[in-house]
Amino acid sequence: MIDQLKQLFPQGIIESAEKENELLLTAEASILMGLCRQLKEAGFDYPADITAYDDGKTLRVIYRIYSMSNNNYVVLSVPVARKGARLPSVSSLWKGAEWFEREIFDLFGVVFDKHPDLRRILLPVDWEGHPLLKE
Amino acid sequence: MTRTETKIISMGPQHPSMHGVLRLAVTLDGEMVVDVKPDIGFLHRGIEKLGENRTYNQFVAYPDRLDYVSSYSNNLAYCECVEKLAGIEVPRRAKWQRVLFLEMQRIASHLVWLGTFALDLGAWTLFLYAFRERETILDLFEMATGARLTYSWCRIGGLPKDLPEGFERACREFVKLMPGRVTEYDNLFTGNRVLQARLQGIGMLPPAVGISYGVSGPSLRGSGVNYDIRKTEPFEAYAEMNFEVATSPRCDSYGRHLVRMEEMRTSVKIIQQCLDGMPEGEIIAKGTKSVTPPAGEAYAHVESPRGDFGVYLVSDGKNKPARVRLRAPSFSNLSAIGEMCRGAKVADVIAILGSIDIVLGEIDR
Repeated sequence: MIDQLKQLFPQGIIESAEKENELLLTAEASILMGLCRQLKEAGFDYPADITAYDDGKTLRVIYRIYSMSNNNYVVLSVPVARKGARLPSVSSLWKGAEWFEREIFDLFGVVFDKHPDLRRILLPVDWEGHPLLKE
Repeated sequence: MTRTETKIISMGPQHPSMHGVLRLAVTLDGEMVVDVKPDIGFLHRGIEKLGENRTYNQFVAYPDRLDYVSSYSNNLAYCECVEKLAGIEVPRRAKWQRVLFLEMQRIASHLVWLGTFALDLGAWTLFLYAFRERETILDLFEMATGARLTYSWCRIGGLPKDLPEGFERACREFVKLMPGRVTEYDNLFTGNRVLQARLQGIGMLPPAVGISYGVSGPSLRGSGVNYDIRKTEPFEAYAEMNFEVATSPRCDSYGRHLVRMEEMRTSVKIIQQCLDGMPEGEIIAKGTKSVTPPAGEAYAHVESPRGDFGVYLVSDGKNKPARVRLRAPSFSNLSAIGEMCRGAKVADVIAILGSIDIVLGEIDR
């Protein structure tokens, strides 16, 4: 699977590994949509979790998608800028991404292009700032 | 010539049937629902952020408060995640007791769902019947852990104490009593024609739609998808348990109802197996009073009564986590409510919401 993806996306895949029932990938934001379409076609149909992690230097958006038929995961990590990050929304592929992306926008400030309804989800409408970013 | 237009009304956040502080912005065309947009966040407590300021051991008490109706599952998922991150091996006896408590918790949680679901639909009687059995379970929990609701009875590496004297006898009495009681609920509720009219064909969730939304637990199994983490990725001692996963091909609220009723029966069987086959041994791994995992990350998830509850931890080698991510099943389950309510009537919205079984504590964190 990883070799297939590396052939399709020779530039964008930064790191890859396989561990137990997980396919671990780190990829550039530029190939996100294409890569996710391939993954969905390969049977990864259930958005288990989409979240983000800020270590103070890099902000990573992490997509954890499960394949019902294969009982395995792909964990895709996409590094973005800590301020002003924009990523395409994958909610057209997995409907569950809609709310996950809203939460990342709310708490981390990442903007998702072509998201059907990008607004805060947990914090009040007039909240300023994105609390889960490290100071 | 009359002109009609759609209207948005607000159900909640203060509403007896909202299962917590939830606001549903319902777009109505007369009595027909056009769209439902949940408005959440009223119970947001910043628990994920809090996690970055507590040591791994200190944080153990927090996950219980997420899905407070089913606190054991959250607590368990967090401890499992730390154990994975730090490479801690949990003794076998502790694993069996964790399964025992989780199944007891599953029944207790489904009883809350059943009672409140019946209440939402106007069937007042069932509530106290369901809570009568729940009291028995809570008494058992109190006997073993000292608490009725948020026990924090999983610690990193195992459990804090072994089962007390008298617990096994009381638990076996409960196991003998429960199946008859579930039949009683079925007699009172499931076969009722009015209930069937209110639930059958209402809140349709086709399996592919459910999977795309990330719906899990009985809400997805009620659409015929055989996805249960106790079977697909057996955790604790589930690989050694003998049980069937309940599913229903109906895809409607009635199907979800049937799945949960059957799960109560299944849980009793698993509890019986736990009591019969409990291995001897230690109850907690050594050296877990103050855990500092090496740098890295781990994901652990359990089959909570509501679905796929996951914890994702990132460690940077310090004694406090760098990131605590809590994946709540009700969050994804609730996101599908717009699809499920389209074309339904206003009264059905309450029935559908009840059939998904959400807890705002874990949605908002």
